[in-house]
Amino acid sequence: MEYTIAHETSYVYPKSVHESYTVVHLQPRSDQSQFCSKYELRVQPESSPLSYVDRFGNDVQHFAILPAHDALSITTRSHVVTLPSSEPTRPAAATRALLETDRKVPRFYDFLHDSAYVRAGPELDDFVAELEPPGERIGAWCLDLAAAIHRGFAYDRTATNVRTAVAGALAARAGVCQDFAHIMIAALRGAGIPARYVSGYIFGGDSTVLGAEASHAWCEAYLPPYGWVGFDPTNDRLIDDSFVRVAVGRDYGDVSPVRGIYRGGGASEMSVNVAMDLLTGTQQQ
Amino acid sequence: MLELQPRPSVSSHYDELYDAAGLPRAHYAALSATLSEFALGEILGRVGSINTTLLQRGVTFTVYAESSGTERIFPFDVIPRILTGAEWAHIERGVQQRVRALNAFVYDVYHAERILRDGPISRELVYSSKNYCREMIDVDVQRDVYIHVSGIDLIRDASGEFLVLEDNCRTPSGISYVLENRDVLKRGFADLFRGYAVSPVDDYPSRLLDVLHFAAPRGIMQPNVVVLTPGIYNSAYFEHALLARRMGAELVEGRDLLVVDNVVYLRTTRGLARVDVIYRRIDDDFLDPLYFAPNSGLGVTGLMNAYRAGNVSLANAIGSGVADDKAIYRHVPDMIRFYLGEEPVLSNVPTFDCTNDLERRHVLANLDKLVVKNANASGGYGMLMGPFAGAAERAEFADLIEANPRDFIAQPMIELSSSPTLINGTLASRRVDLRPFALYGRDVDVPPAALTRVALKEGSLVVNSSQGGGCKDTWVLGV
Repeated sequence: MEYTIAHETSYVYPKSVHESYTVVHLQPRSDQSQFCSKYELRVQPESSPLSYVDRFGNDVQHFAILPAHDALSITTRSHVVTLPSSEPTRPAAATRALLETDRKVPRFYDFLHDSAYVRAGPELDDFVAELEPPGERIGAWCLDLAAAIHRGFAYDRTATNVRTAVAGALAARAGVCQDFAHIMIAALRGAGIPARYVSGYIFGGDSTVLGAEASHAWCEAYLPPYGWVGFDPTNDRLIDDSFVRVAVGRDYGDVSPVRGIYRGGGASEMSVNVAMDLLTGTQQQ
Repeated sequence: MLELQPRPSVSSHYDELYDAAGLPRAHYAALSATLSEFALGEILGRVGSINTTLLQRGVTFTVYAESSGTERIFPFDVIPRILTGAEWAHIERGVQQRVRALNAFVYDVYHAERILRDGPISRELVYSSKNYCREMIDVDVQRDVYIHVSGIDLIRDASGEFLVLEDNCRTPSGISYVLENRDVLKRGFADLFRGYAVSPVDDYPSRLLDVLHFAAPRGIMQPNVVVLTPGIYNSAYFEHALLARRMGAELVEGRDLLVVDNVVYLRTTRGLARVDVIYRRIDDDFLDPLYFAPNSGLGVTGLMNAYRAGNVSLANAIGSGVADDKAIYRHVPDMIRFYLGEEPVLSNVPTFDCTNDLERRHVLANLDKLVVKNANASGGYGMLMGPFAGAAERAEFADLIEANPRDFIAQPMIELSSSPTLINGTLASRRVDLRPFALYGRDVDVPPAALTRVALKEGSLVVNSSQGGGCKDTWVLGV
């Protein structure tokens, strides 16, 4: 599928700010499942972003605005082609035995341990205990886990905030895509399955899809023989070509779309708008 | 009159002064002769004026977690600790070798991870280190040098062999005491030097500056070097100021620097001045709030971006601390074999790994005989001296170890060597360690400027300044 994505993030400050430094993870990845053919980042007040590739292979931009200003807007326009998955729709062949002999797994320490937003704990144990234990067929268990989160949790934007770790959403049995991704990651890591966080976009043509109005988030489990397989617990779906991946990391903290440090100002007011359009009838030659 | 009298040797530890027959060693003979010429009152008078000088110069340190006045002078003992040329040559060779291997290890864990793939160190051990800095993965630093300045703590066991007790690869302090101690002793008690060719220490700042110049981004001929301090409340502020002054470098705090388009500038009264090399005495966590502790006001926002882009050099490099994690220390001899293909010149103290079930059980069963250290603390904080600890303190450490085994290591208690020390008007035997400093530029330089710390309490084996230790001038004799 072929999409254009416009993503605007705006901040208004009660008092003017200066020496503002911002880091963004907004550029869609180019890899085996998708290709980002165009990416534009505009900042107002004007600034010239610089970029680097982080250790997860994400393209990261950063910029500074030194003079005083009382609003900041960050706009990206991307053009992405996603490819239909060549894998089976259910990762049924993934087994514990394959995972245990996989040579890459020792390098996935960070995807098997707690991170800033992903913490093991009794609330998580209680939730996981409601499922059948994973046993040998870990691929099937991942699907059960995503379904259980979808079934057991309410999508509620007022239940949590960006700083809420796994425990808060578990206690409320409610949250947003970011919370569900973190919970699924925590459960996967607890079961010894490497798991990482993905931020991106989901195409919500028919509007029953959750998470389409802003950045979306889901998770990936490392399941040999397939490699990283994506699950969206918010919508109880396997990742397919209606998802656009922007950045991967241990959790939200590694890939937050926008983060920054500035002097002055006080607490800012933020608004986000994402418009994702499917391009039809114009097949690329 | 102070006399170094013959006396029976004490077999439990190595005596720096007396040999096995109970006679003063040859390199202490001239000192012994000089001391015997002075009346005790004369010596104590000189001690008094030396201490006044140190206090006036502000050679103080801060004891954290102490409610009463925190500024204290680091007690200085006028009786020097003397190392022969041969002893020093051995130390120099061992420290050079060790620092080369530690630096190669830091480079490796942020690049190809050869030692984790094929070698003796587990990925788990490195990735679980609090000092392993993920932001440094695949980042290149100038000339692959990470550990520009290190302090390698040595002790002598009962046989007199030098052992490495710990490596300090982050922001080791103490060199200012070495410089000041020598200066005040020479001014206040020059007679002591009679009959000795003592290697000078006062070129340390220029040797450090050479290393910092060499570390500059390529192509910069006259690099602008600054010393970055957390400020006047830091225990080593005196040292930061001294080194900046002696190197002719600007002493700055984080708020004095500004990053523009990945270049670091110093705010001056005449505008912005580009900075090429930062000798930073701020821990990694506080260097840049954009990438590390977000609430830190000590650092420079955007510094990591400028550093990653290669536009500024930091000494030491961010992430060097992975080399001085005390749980990784145990593997330094393996690093030396792995990277250099050599046998270690200096041995380690045997160390138990509390993450290993068998070793942890041994540690817990023998807490009354062992020294337990926090894997990432320094300055003698977070430490248990088993033989001197009460049952309650041992129980508290047992709980801590059970809860977080990765955070602790244990070592047998080593009897440190002793050195004559002036205590209440007499010469008494007190335990000492030795911290040589290594400077890594073109190669590893070990200036003959080492710090001797002395445990002033009788029988004590803890020399840290924060725990009631003092220091001595350390003489490295010409060969």
